[in-house]
Amino acid sequence: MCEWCYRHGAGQKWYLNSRNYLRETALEVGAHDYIFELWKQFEKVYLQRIYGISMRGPGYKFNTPVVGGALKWYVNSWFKKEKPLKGRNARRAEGHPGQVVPLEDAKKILKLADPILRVNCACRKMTRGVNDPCCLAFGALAEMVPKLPRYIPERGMEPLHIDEAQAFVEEMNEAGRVNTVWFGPMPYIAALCSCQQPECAATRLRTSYGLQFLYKGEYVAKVDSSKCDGCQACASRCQFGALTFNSLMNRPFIDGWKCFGCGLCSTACPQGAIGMADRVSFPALKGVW
Amino acid sequence: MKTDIIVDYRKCGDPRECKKCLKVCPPALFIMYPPDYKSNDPDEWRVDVAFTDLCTRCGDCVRDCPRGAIRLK
Ligand code: SF4
Ligand code: SF4
Ligand code: SF4
Ligand code: SF4
Ligand code: SF4
Repeated sequence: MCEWCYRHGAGQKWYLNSRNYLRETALEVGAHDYIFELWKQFEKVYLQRIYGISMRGPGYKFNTPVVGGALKWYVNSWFKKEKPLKGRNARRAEGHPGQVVPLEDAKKILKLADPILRVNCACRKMTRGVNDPCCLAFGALAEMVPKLPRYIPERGMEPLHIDEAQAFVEEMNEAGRVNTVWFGPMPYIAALCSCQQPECAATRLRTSYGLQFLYKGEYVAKVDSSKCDGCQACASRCQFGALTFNSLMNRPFIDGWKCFGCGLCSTACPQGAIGMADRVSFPALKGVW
Repeated sequence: MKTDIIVDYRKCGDPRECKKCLKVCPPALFIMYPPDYKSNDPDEWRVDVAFTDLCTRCGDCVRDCPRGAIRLK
């Protein structure tokens, strides 16, 4: 359980609390306007200069001692912003953090969301000029998409039934995409994404700059060495540099400190040798988000 | 080493017809965006670059741009 589970989970994981998907919740936080602002200016948010940090090369600023650390802290505080309920600044992604989820949890999320609309991934459209309809937009976001034609897939708007949506995330998982779930804005839940490096803006902010825009998942992968036969099917699955195949022990080595809990290694294992353990079951990792 | 990636807009036209730089850059640093955010269905697009501190100066973008519009500094 992470900090959001405690605040918005009603005793469970934040993204399994059905309240966070309700239209009522969307209206309470002004999700429609917020989402429209964000998606309409998506590339501008990505490119903008914020308090002297140019997104053209934030690394130069973040790497300056003291000032860099303070700036990071400041930018991180936007993502976590919970107030005001309505009118948070979409251009700063206030209240719009996300978290990595493994396939099983992604499927549970799709049972709670309604409607589910498949739309073009904003990051891939921006960085590669490719329309890749792989973002699953929920409720308020799905309602705003007709006003944002550049995110409507070429074959038209695609509302998905729960079964279709679940089959789709399975396909994405097989293809090596990492599922992430997004507040928009907190505590309303607006989307389930299927991300990959280096196109994903969120993953970039996290892995290249250490910004807490994307949280690590609620789980950490753990190898059961008695089940592993050394087939190496898991070896190329990790996007976070957490898994390497260890030829001496003939099994993967998973660095728990680097693991994001996406479960891609686990779903690739024919022996069921990689389990997803609750992050809190590792006393040293329970605060590592 | 600080890198600037400069696009000459007199040479690069509508990126939607080319996109070579977007596709070739290994870390995906080029982006295409509509400068006019008032429109929901923008018709004008341009190329720009973000996160230049991740550029390795591999030179692929300069090599592949058919209009010679990209310069590294
Ligand atoms: S967060 Fe991931 S899936 Fe969502 S728009 Fe960005 S890359 Fe696409
Ligand atoms: S080790 Fe497995 S679960 Fe952890 S980040 Fe890598 S692929 Fe995902
Ligand atoms: S896929 Fe499973 S059985 Fe194969 S090496 Fe990885 S953990 Fe072992
Ligand atoms: S030099 Fe290489 S890394 Fe740098 S922008 Fe061009 S293609 Fe990308
Ligand atoms: S490759 Fe050159 S001409 Fe083509 S979009 Fe990029 S900058 Fe413009």
